[in-house]
Amino acid sequence: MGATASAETRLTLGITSNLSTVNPYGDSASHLYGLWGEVYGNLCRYSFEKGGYVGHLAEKWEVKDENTWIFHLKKGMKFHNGTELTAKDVVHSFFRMSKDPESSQKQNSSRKIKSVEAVDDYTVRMISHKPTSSLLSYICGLWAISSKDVYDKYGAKEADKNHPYGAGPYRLKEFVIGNRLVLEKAEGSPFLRPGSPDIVIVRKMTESEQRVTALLNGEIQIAQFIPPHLLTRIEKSKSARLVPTSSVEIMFLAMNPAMKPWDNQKVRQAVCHAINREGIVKALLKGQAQLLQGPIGPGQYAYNPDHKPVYDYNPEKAKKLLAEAGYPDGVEVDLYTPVARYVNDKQITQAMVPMLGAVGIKTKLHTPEWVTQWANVRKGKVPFFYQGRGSVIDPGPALSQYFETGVSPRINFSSAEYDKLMQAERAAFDEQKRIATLRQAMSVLTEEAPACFMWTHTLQYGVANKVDYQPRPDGRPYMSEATMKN
Amino acid sequence: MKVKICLGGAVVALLISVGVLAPVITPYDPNQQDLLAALQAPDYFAGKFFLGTDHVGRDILSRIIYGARISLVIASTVVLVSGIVGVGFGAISGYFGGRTDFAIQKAVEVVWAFPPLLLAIAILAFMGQGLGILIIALVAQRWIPYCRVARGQTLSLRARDFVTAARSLGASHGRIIGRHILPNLLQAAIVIGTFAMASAIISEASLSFLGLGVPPEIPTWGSMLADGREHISTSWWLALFPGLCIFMTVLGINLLGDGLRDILDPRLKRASSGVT
Repeated sequence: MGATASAETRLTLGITSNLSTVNPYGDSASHLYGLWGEVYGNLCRYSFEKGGYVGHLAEKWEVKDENTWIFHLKKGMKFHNGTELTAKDVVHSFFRMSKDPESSQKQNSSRKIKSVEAVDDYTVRMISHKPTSSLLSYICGLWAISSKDVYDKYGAKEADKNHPYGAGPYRLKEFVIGNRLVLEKAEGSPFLRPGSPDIVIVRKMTESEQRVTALLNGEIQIAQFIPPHLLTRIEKSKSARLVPTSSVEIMFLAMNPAMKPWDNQKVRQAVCHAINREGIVKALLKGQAQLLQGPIGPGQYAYNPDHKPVYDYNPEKAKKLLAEAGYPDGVEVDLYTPVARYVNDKQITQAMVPMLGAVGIKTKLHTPEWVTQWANVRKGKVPFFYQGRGSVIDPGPALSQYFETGVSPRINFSSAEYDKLMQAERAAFDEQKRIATLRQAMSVLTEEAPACFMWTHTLQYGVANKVDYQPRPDGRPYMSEATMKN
Repeated sequence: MKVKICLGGAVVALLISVGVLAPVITPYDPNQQDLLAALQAPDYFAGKFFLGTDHVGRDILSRIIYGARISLVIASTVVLVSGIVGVGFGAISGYFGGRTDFAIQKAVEVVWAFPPLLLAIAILAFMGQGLGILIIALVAQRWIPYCRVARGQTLSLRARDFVTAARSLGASHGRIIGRHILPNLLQAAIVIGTFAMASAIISEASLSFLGLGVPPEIPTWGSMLADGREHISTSWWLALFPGLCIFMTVLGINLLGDGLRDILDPRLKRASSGVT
């Protein structure tokens, strides 16, 4: 360690999400992609400052033809055990994502790719199954690059647990599942900034009161997702401040058409008309959210500013649609929400219940633990649920993952027209053509309504005054970007 | 002793009255939301909401009144079902003895080995949320104290002269248990029941607090407390009033239980009068 014990800087981050597994390919959540990116390093990442993808472990990339992408790795990138990172490690990481059964949650990131080959030590060739113009969205900030040699020597479980050597700015010191993760600065890493904290502790703190109190007591230095009713506590503080970021996480109410009554498009549309989104944003989110009129909003790729709102708050229309769908006397449904996973999630869905009831959709609210809820969503077992999808900078991968036929069972929606448009957008390497096709696909999705798209949050982070930190809209906690003031 | 019974009895009487009269005395529907009136502080005299409103603008007083009803229904059902099951098995176990006694007491030991709240959480996690399931989860272990006490007393009663007399007159086992044993187990069951009622209310509140109790649309003191926890530094009334209700109710029922035990338990009565 370069820093002396007395000068050691320590930053603790309070997060709301789960620390579920030490396998860097074992869970797909924004915060984990970010944390594993800090340990293992990524090929590339999205830069909100530059408005595009930039290299991390890769120097640059090129598109040889519609199916062939070449990545050139930076030379001299070292794993934490001192060995050099080469193309074979990228091939190995692809293998772990695509073939390892314990990494099934990350297969969405690799499913578009047919093969990954090492051309030489610093050149990687990726061949896609079909032309995929948005391929970088499936790779950048998502693929953690781990060591093939360590894996070959110890095997997956032992390597992940006791030899987690990456090439990122932090080495993994401790991982207590469901509780905390401790990172230690990898001295000499080119990704560190002057002032990056020596030690980073990430603590799971689902209660917002707990996060705020810990921040104000100096127990933690960054508190994620401060709900609107607690903003004043931080505003009044002399030791911390609020730092907002416009999230690119789209919040929606998903309706699984494989189950009744959600097989009926009119029932789904009735739900979208029944919910007073403006009222919820005003009263429960205190204006800290932007309404979505389709799957995405301003600032996200292919957003159409001319898109007219389709689903206004209109209970009468909702009742009419419900009657036309064959439910003139109403229908009973079950709504599932996580608790404290998203800002005011339980409160928001509680507010939706009487709104839905008022149009005849008698709703029973369920509040399972996030782990249970997420496992069931991934298996397609949940009929009607409140959910967020993070990292939607380019909506292609997210909208494919959730709504394209056969990609994931989460919603079980299927539309030939939508599938055709999504395939066409991936095949379009001309940007204008791709944007136009994506917009068409999103219009179809809005009309078919397998989900009611709600809003994107303005996420408020509580940050101690002795820390400089600008949270990212995609929710990646890249702690090397935080700097400590002396 | 009388003070305990009076105070405890008053609390229980108030709980029963509020529970029974809930639809008449609540100012609002407990689930009626007014988002624009969310988190209004209590206004004890002039306001629209006597104890304030919660995070989605529901009247806290109305929810507390309905919460009393839920607590009462759950606690009394749990006590009744646990009592019937526990006293029934205890009487059978003690009366027949032998293999029957051995089998029932082994079952008792197995169930008793689980921490009660953990067992309830496991049942709810497995079977899902619902009023009926919650009652099953709470009964799962609460019948044990009845069973153990009833068995002990039955072992003593079955050797008494009036039981021998009934047997010699040709009375069936069912008749002996029903007519001669069970009435003598009633006093102990009542004392256990009062304590079980208090513990059932706390368990229900704990499970609702953890989000495992009844479904969220049913107002309970435990779920109100859980909702209030998220606002405790800014809107204290959300957690304070349901918390006070749980505290007062459990205290009242325990006082009543203490008083009844003093009257009904002969050993305690003798001890308190200096007779050993």
